[in-house]
Amino acid sequence: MSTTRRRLRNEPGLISFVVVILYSVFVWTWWPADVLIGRISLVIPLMSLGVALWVVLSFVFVFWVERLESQESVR
Amino acid sequence: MRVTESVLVGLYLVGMTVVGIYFYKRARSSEDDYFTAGRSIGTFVGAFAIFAAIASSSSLMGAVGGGVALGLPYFVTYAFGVVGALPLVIFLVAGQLSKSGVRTVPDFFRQRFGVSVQIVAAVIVVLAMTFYLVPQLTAAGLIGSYVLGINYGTAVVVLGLGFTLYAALGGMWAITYTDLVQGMIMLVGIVVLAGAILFSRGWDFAGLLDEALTVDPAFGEVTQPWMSYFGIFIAFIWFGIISPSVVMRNFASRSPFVARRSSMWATLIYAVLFAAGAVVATAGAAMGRIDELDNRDFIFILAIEQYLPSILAGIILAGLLAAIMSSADAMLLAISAGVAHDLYKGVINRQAAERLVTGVGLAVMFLAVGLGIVFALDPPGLIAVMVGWVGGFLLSSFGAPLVLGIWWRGATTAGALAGMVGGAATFVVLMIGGWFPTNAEPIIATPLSLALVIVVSLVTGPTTPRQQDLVARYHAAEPETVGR
Repeated sequence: MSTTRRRLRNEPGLISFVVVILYSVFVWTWWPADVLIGRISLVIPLMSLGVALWVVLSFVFVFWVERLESQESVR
Repeated sequence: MRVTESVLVGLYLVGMTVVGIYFYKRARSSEDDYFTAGRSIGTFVGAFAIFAAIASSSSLMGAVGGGVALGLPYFVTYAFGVVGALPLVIFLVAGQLSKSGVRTVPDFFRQRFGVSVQIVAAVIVVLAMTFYLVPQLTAAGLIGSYVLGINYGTAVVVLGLGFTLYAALGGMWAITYTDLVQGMIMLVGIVVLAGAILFSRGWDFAGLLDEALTVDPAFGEVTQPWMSYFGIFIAFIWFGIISPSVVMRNFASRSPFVARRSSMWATLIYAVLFAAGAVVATAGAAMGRIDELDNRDFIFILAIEQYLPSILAGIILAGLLAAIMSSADAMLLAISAGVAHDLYKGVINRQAAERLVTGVGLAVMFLAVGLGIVFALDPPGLIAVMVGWVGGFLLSSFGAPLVLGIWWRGATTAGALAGMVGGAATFVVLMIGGWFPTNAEPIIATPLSLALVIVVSLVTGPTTPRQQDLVARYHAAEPETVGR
């Protein structure tokens, strides 16, 4: 097993984590609790969208890291 | 007593115990088998097992009950946090922990930081996981008393001892394979219930939501302080990383590749569970019966009763028990490993034979469940709130030392110890003081823990070459085909 380490800015885990942080900061700093759409608070669709984003990100991350590891093992 | 439901639940409990007995011999053969199922679990089984471990009674009864009582934003906040828990696991720790080759979370702290941090971590694991049994036993008591027609206290004792039996006998082997079945039952159960609700409404979710908002106009509104929602969110989104019962699943995976893929599929399963749960919560609000309940988590069972025939109700109730048991058994194993592996063998008797260690682990499980039963006889709060406390406590204690221990070569033993003790103590003081809204404690305790790890590490650094090598090893490239 190689012990070489990717640069931090190329780490899929850290990049995906930053996306999670950015979307979370967006939701929690805006927090439009009083904006109602059809009698429900806007925070509900915002957070529901976040749930979908987490699922998509997990698939993107796994296939991304597998591709990277495949390339690294060939080198 | 509901005969059909009782028969189905009874058959389910017997089935789970048979699995425990089946795996007894294999589990007791070595510590690796007892605590990590011989590190041989594949993606399909692993995905359902990690999903079942993280999705407890709280994800079904607790989130739905909390959503009906406190409004849909509370339910969605729960989902927003907890569905992100497994992605954070794979982004930050799954592959790395799998490469570390350890068996438990305190084991990892010993490897990275030394014995002192391991001992503190083991004590925190035992305390947190024992308290985490309380909401599970509460839910078990509610379901048991409803189905079997016995009183709540008796149901807590009978079902608590029931799931301890197979977990203690079969260790991680039994827990993983029962979790596979339990995860499937949970998923199918909640999807069937949501389907039955929508079918009865002509598949008109908008109409159902409209009815719920008419019955309870506050259902769609934010009813609690911002801090309560945010506290729940950060406690749950970090739950996969800081909960030993979930992290141990990574150690059972055949390889880092399998660990990542298991969590990926489990994330999708979890999202489906919450999509169906939103339908159940909305139907629960539309029923307009929340104020007549002593325990508001019971609304989930009322929804089952209203929308399903008894045979399907029996399956769903078995699914609810599955949710409880699959998490509680994983907690029991974490407690057992914390005492038997980390404290007894790690500190008290390093020469202990493997069979003695697994025997100690087995005994500890029964002690822990006994303690949990005592608390569950008079539960201190809503299921979701109790789970929020556990998540917040573990996040405040382990979050910073664990993540920085994996990612930052500069994290020192003194830094980890300061962050762990400082975070845990701050959380407990804030919780007892009651100065913040419910579940908001980690908003203060976690950043404080993070600051302590960083500042104390910078002051006491540098780390040893061995510690730096360990961090490099956690991030080493993995040969493409290993363990697939």
